Amino acid sequence: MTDQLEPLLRDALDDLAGQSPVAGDLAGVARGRLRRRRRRLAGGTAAVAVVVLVAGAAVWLGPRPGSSGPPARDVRVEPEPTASVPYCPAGGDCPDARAVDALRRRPLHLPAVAPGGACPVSPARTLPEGGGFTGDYLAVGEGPFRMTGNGLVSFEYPPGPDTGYQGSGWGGEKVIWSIDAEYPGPVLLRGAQIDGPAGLRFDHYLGALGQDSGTTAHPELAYPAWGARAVRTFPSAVRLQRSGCYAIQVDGTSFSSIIVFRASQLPS
Amino acid sequence: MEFEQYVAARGQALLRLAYVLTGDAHDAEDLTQAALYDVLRHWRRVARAGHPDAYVRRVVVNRYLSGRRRRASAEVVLGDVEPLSTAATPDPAVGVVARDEVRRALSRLAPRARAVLVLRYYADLDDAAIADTLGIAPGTVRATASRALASLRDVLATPTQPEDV
Repeated sequence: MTDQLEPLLRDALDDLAGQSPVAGDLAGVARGRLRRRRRRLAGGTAAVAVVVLVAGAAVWLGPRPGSSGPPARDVRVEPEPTASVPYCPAGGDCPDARAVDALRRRPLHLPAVAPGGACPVSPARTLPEGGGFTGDYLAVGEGPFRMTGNGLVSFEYPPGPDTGYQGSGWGGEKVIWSIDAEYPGPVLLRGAQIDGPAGLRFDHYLGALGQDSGTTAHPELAYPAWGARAVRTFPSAVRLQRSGCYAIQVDGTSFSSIIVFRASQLPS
Repeated sequence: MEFEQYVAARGQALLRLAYVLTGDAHDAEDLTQAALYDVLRHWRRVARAGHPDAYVRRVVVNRYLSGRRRRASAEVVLGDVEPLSTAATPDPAVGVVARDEVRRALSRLAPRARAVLVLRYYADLDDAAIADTLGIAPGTVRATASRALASLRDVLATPTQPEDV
């Protein structure tokens, strides 16, 4: 056999290439990732600009020696992104803590996928503009709670310096949740890898905006009741450590649904 | 040429190259996506230079090598090979077994040695082009290939033992 090694090598490599997976939307994934990176960098720059402006305003409006005018107005810096709502921790006293506790008591029923098996990414559907989207947008999940996008998430691991997650032990990627207008109640998200043992964490994307150390990778994410008004969207981040197929169980007072997405690790 | 046009035409070939390098479907997809992301960031310059294949191939291979360096050095990619057969019967299956043995032996090579063999025997590049892709001297390519082939010959010459007896 070894006398014919080189032709055998060609045959073996050709055979292997013939078993290659079929390419999906490679260009779309690359462009989406670049868009997210630019948005993230722009968000960071905007946050810095807001802080500088507000600090400047505070100095301008603050009490001055010898001033006899009315007290200066309070200048309050609201955390960005403002569309987000505070994380509702276990045992916390946020208004919907009891409702969220009830959701938390529901058992997890995540699907399982054999290691190396095909990831049954939730089908994507096109939704009309709303919730901050100025045009049609894609989202996966049966609703009323969905993950916008096509169910493919890429993340840097180990997290690089421009991700906002460096040193946290968890990579991350921004996602935007979309909640139908008809559902008014609280929502609880929990999840894990379903083709392997890795965990899944969440945060409010504040780390990437410089609002947080980026070390908070919550094992669950809760959104208090918001009332039925219109489609609402929440920027967030899924925190990951390895490629694979992941599922999120979304529990609301009137529903329980599963969102399956595939995460691809990019070396930083 | 637009980036999307290029990927539509060459994306599958890139994924095949990534698969031959990594031996794993998930790793190949991750590698291809990471490489295309890098390429997209510099696409105008790449497209202006014409013939982007060489540049893109270089990104894929170097991403592969840097990724392997970052991983645990002891990790061995075995790919989706079937268990070896020890039967020495001259039937058509013997060719399949031989190819599997070669693939298994390939997966045990160091990443750069594997990359050199893949570029030479799968991508059909000459030593100068391989050297350009890897950023090393043509002499280093020849030495690496020679050592890699010798290593494969050693592995393939060693009688295989049935596993899990």
